[in-house]
Amino acid sequence: MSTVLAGHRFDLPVPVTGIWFDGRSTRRQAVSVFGEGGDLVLRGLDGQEVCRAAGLRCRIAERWAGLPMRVDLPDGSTLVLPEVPDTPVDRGASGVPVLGSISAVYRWINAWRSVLVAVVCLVTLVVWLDRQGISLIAQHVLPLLPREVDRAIGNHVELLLDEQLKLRPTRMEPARQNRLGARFQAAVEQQHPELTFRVRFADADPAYRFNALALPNGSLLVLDGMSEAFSDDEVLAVLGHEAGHVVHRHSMLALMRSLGLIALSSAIVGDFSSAAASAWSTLAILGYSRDAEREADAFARRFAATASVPPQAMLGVWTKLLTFRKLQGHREAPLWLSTHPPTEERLNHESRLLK
Amino acid sequence: MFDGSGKEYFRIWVVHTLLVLVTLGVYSAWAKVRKMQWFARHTVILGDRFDYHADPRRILMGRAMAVVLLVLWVISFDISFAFGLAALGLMCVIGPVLFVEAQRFKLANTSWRGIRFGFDAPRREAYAVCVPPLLLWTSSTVAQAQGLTDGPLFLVGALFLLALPWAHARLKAMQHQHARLGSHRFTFRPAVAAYYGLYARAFGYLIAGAVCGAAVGGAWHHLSGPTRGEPWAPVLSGLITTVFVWIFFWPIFAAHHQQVVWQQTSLGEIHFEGKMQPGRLWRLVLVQTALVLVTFGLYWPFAAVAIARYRVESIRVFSAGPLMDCVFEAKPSDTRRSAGDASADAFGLDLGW
Repeated sequence: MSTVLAGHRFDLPVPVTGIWFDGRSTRRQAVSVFGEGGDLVLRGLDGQEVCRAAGLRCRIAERWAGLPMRVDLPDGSTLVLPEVPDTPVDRGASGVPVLGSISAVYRWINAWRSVLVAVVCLVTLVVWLDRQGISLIAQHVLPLLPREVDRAIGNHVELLLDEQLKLRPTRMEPARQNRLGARFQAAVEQQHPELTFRVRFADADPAYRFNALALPNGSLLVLDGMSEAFSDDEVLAVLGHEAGHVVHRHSMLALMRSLGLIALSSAIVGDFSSAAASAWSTLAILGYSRDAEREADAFARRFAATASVPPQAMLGVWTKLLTFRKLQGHREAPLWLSTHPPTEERLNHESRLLK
Repeated sequence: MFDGSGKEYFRIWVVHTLLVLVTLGVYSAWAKVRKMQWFARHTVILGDRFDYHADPRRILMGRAMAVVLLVLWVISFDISFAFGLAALGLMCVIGPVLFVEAQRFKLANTSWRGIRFGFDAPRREAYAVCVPPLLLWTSSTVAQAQGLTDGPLFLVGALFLLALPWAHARLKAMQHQHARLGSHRFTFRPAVAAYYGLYARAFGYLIAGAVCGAAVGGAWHHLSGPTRGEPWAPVLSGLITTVFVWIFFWPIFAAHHQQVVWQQTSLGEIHFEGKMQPGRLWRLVLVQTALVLVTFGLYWPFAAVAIARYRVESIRVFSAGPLMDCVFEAKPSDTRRSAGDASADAFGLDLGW
């Protein structure tokens, strides 16, 4: 007796014996399986018919090496055939047509050559996604997110920041504040009139004083440690850099990239080790923020041109930053763990551009 | 007994992962079904294998919903505190329902000897059991968003830790008491005391792990010069701590937990015993994790099979009468199901991998 299985034909030893579970209790019933017309007929050990089903309404489950053949009958019962051999044999014969589930994916999984191809493709795809793919996807999805979200998040974070950094009123004289603010607004309006920015100066704890921040709602904060050490031009260069973060919506991009990375690492290692997955995404996220910093630096250069800030100002910023770091005794974090490109790299890049 | 081979699962896993990535996750539902079927059909008890019958399309719907909820949760507190509270409220309302439905979906689609399992916890009990841990789990997030620091925050954390074993015990009790094979209920003897013992022991191991982590961190500091105050130091120490907690804490906790759970569970005349050895599981996880890292993840399917095999083979089944004589009947409503006919599930939720 042979059965048709999605185009393949099996040759079964006649008669076939198997175990039948009627779906109403867990009792095992030994049966013999026959093909009559287009029907599968099951007969018990005493020869009595226990079940008859139209072959085409039966389904053979996907079969794996070493497993018995399993047939699901239309009345909810299950037939298990341990004696049917694994491999289908192509023979011309008529038999009982039965629905199989040999899908293209199943065929693919069972062909070693195709699997090797799949391994290569998988590794390539993951590497590409990690390097570029996720950024690309994030960049395309970003326009779907309205700027209102940026503003909402930025406003909320700004409140938290005031507390966390223990901000105090700036010690900069109002004349300088107005001067810097006016120069900045004039320049940024030429390039991006659709965005609103707010320049803030403040003083903070000695540990954090030498810093500048950009928030997604357009607030740019320069702390006194920096504004005291820098000339007007240099402060404007820094403001330009921070504005670059807002224009390119780096915070939102970072949020999306981290979601994308979490999804990617979960898809691969998610089953048991969410710890490994989150460790990997943390490291990769830091890499993306370094790209963002480089992008902001590029924006700062274009901004400097509009704001009549001489290019030497950017050089000055990096030189002073380096000096400050050395004075503080800070060591640069290793590249793989840092949110910024190393200061020296930015300095060299800047001086190369000037030449 | 589990007789699946790592080599075969490797083939399945590679093709699945590639397809999941290429279809941006849509194929994950079909991948999940084939994976569950493969693991189920290679698990043997009393000479017969399990099976899994879920419809991938329902799983896909469930996952789409889960993604939406997750995104909402992640950004809710960043948008505003009120929004965050609203999201929390929403979680409390639908969270337990989702959990119960996920259990029901998983069990109702698993069968043994032709009989489906089932899960039928009443909604009321689901809320009573699920809401406290949910609130506890999110209490620290809420407290932080409120701006609590130091003293009150510590109190919140302590409350969370003290109530956790109780909440966990109740959760497991609900999971097992309302599970059934056909029309026969599983039973779960209450075990709150055992859970406190379990957590106390785990806490001890956690301390040990933290001490080791601190020792390694301190040694690393010494060797590489003073780095205190660097902004990146916390990230690194966080990574080291995570790895240590993972390696020390989880396997030992999981093994003891398995013993407790199965000891309290029975099905009619059948009793179970969890014989997972913490030391053995710990070594297994360590070796498998190392191999996965060294091969950049390609060893993963072999590791999954090894762990699944140990999990299955560490459960013993006992019975008063001869085991082959135990017969379970199907629930009458289940037998109306035919091949391809979906059961009366509202959601096809299967939130795990």
